[in-house]
Amino acid sequence: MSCVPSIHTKNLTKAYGSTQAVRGLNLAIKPNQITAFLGVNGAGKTTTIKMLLGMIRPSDGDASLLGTSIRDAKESVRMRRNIAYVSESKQLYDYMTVGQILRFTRPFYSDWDTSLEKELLDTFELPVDRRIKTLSKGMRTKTALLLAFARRPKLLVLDEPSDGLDPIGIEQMLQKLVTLCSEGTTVFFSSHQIAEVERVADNVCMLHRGSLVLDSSMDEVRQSYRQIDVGFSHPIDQSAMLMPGVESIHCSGRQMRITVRENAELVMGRANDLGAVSVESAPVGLREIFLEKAMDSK
Amino acid sequence: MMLWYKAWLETRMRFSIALVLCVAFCSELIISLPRVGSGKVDLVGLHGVHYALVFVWTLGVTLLMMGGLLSEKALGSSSFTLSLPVSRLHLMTARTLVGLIESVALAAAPWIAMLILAGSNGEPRRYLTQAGFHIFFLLAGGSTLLTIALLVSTLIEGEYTAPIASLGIIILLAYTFSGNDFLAYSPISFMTGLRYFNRHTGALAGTVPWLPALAFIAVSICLFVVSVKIIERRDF
Repeated sequence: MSCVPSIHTKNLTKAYGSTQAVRGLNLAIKPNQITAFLGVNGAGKTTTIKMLLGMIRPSDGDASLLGTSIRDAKESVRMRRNIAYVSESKQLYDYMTVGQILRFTRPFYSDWDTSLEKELLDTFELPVDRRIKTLSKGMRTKTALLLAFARRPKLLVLDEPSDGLDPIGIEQMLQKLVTLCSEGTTVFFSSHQIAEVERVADNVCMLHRGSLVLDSSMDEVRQSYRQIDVGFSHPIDQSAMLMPGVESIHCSGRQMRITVRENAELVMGRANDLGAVSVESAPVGLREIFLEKAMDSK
Repeated sequence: MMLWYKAWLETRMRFSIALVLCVAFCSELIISLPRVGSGKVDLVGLHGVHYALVFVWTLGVTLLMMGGLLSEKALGSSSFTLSLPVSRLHLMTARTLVGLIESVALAAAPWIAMLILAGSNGEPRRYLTQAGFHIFFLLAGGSTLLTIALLVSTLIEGEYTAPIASLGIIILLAYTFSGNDFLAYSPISFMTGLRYFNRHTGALAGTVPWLPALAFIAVSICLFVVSVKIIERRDF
């Protein structure tokens, strides 16, 4: 297995006037794994993805996809043969039918898998003779996913892929992502659906206001992140609990809720040293971490 | 090749409507013209209808050249196009060449209809040569208008504002170059062939004006290059 990151960004930045949409992003997305890209609306996820695919020019920094710099326009075209992208809007050409857009897209990719195309047409129940204009949002999303999956990409970039899909469609899509990943495709997808991410992602990155606030494997998230509820018999200054690994502290009277990303035992020990009457530790879900990081900055 | 297919599918409805309108408009004018001799239309009449063709052709070509990446951005499909392994130069070239071929058809088809309806007045070779001349003038001068429309479509993304702006520029161009001193530089005047029209023979005369034709084509190429540069630098 290759150790070269499928996506590697170095200080990647995009500014619109005085507004920085993406601030000095440093990412290294591992190959042959599924990485979720989280963030609230306007966090900079789509801008990042568009910079990676050459649709938006970075203001500063650099990035490479599959070992090719995004700043090299000619190489970027060649690189796109190995990359599939499903945009947030899922908009395709309204004037084409499903069959026509398949006919149009197929010749661009030498690895196009016709049998997978047929399988997905059946699975997604897509009508080849229908104009894209007349398809529902869910059907459009399925068409966009089919066009991305059937080209057998080395890197699959999806922006909110489950948007518009019903639960069955989401299930089919997630299963396909896992299958493609097991066959050697690196998947990088942005989503607001934490449950989906927890089910399929190997790694998770989170962007907030253009900055990377979380970059970890799901295993690390599950094992390391803890929520510690501490009860004191007397009021205590929360700064006493500030130590390495503490992500946030919320105080309510004599109760304190501490979120830690590491050193949970040390934090619990400190609480005991300070005379805590109760100390309870529980694992934290990705949803709580997401909300914590998003709300903290507000 | 598939980019040509896409450009064709994108414009075929507009092209079909423009083609029908151009042919119908010119045919109607030919039918309504007074007849000479054996019930045929003379070359002066055909030259007059060519003026009308210049008008509808300009309208048709302006509408044909709308679309492209900026319009796709407004509709949301530009992300799909730009994720394809093709450069923006290739996308623009394919779209422009398909537009060019369609504009040739928009010039030739009405003239074929005009010749059939007018009859050749016993001089088929002369009528054909005159048709060729008129089409040459229309396309050489019209290439400038075609690329003006292309340029506007790379600057303005509105579905209605872009063609209106493009036609506005063309009208401004016609007005600016309408004085006698500047008429030689007017692409619209060149498209009509007025400067080469002989009132006595009722036909376009003289040698083929290659130099001004090439000048207009060179301007078109410049406008195309500018359009490509704009698209290449743009964020989507």
